[in-house]
Amino acid sequence: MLPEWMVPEPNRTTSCSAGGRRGRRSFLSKSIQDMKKALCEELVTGHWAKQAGLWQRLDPGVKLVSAVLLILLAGMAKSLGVLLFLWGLIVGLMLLSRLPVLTIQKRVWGFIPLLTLLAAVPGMFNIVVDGSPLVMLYETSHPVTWFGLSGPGSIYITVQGLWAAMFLVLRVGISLSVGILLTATTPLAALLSSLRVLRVPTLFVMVIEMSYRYLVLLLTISIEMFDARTLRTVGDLPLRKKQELVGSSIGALFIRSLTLSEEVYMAMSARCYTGEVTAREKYRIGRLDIAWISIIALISIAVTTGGFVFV
Amino acid sequence: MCKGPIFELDRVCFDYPHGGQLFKGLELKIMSGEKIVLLGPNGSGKSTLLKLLCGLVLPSAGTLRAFGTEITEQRLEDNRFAREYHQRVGFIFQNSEVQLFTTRVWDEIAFGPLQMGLDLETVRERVEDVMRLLGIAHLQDHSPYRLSGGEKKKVALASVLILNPEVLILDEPTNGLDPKTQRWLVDLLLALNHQGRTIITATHHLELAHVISERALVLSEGHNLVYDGPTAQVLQNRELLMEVNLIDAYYHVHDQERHVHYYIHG
Repeated sequence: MLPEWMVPEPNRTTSCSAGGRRGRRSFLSKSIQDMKKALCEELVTGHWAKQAGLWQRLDPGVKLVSAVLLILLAGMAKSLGVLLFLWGLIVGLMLLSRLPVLTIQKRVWGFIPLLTLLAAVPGMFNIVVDGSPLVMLYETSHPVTWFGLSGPGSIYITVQGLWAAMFLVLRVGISLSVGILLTATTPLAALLSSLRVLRVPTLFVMVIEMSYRYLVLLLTISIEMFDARTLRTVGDLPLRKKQELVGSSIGALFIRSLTLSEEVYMAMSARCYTGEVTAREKYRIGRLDIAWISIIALISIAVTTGGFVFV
Repeated sequence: MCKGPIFELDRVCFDYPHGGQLFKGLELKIMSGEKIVLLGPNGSGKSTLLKLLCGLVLPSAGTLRAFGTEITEQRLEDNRFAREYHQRVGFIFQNSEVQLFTTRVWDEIAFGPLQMGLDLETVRERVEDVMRLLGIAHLQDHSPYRLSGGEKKKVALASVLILNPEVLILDEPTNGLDPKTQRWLVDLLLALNHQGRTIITATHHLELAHVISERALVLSEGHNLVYDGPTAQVLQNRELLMEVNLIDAYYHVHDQERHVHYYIHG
């Protein structure tokens, strides 16, 4: 028999009352949703990796080594010409790999190098690194003295400082473009297994893969937990209560992940895993890979011995 | 293939790490080529019994013999023995998510044979064969995250079948599957059994039990083995099925007549 409080009220209207304050989606739940979306896109789509472009046809190991080499060259180059050449090369490779070059370049140069520039700004002034004046900002014949320490007589942007900041921004932008070229044209699984080319231990690669795989699952569980909680929450809760709920959710998720890890280990043992991981599919180096290796080797030799690097 | 008893459990007990005991002196013998269904309500210990048979957990008392050898912790710590044992006994988990731990279907299926030390060419051939058998060749580059429930189950099955096990143990294999996929799975299990493989399935899906098994083991809510005999016979034993909470009954009246209906917990 149902208790009395469960019996429907006779005069209750069928429609829900409206006009209350609209609740905002919590920061935490929004962040988790966004993280999940980003990870799923990363894991699931692989849209650009399926295009019939130049870099998509290369062996993932060859691509990984080339990318590391290009980043190293960009990091060591001391000539603007070399940096511009490398940037042009990467843009060309993006075009040949059928990637949306304009969108990628807008993202690359629009945000992260700006942050780098902000970090590099102090280095442009003579008070950090001395050099030839380019733009004078402040000059006085009577420097201010505080507690016996005298201030600078002038503050200006140096030619060397601006040059160094520009190089830093260019290097970051080029490295970022190389990273995007590599990750966009290589499926995640292939990219991870290609880490073996760099002698990364197989067990380590497997741990990264598994972390990536289960991150999405745990994020899905977290979202479901938050959704379930939201559906049972009426009105706005005090901050302390919210903190308690988030804390208990984190605890519950931790326990679930522990159970999951135990079961995953059992599933691995049931399929002959004894603690040693055997390497998986080996990639085959084709003619295109050899041609690309030759090109990248020529570029590296030309750049390093051509007087542009370490000068 | 082994022709005698595959599993022999002699006065087996199992203690949960957090307290509580299952199977007080369980006696059981499973012969090669049998089709067995393990029935019982939720929490009766079906999954634990299956994990015992698979060597994933060990009895706290009594002995478990498989293929004529006693299965002990020391034996399973021997990598060579553990590999061979897990190759001979395949286990399909109830939750496919735990079984699909790589980022690509191909890698998932190839995991077992690579651990066994098979050469890459043989592994490639086997992966192709098993994917063709299960009709999942088009999924080989997919991430397990993208797969539907039925596809995940097929990949999990492929990852075990590729090891060519003598015994196939399945924990609630039809959970979350649509009727067509359920039928496909039943047909596959029957075909595998026809070839001589031992099939042990845990389920509380009674309609499935009579199709996939000839022998039934029934566990009670008190974790005891209360029936071991022909499946057809236990499915007629309404009293026992009600006692172990596998079916329930309700009454209703129409046309001045009182009816009783039985329904299956699912």
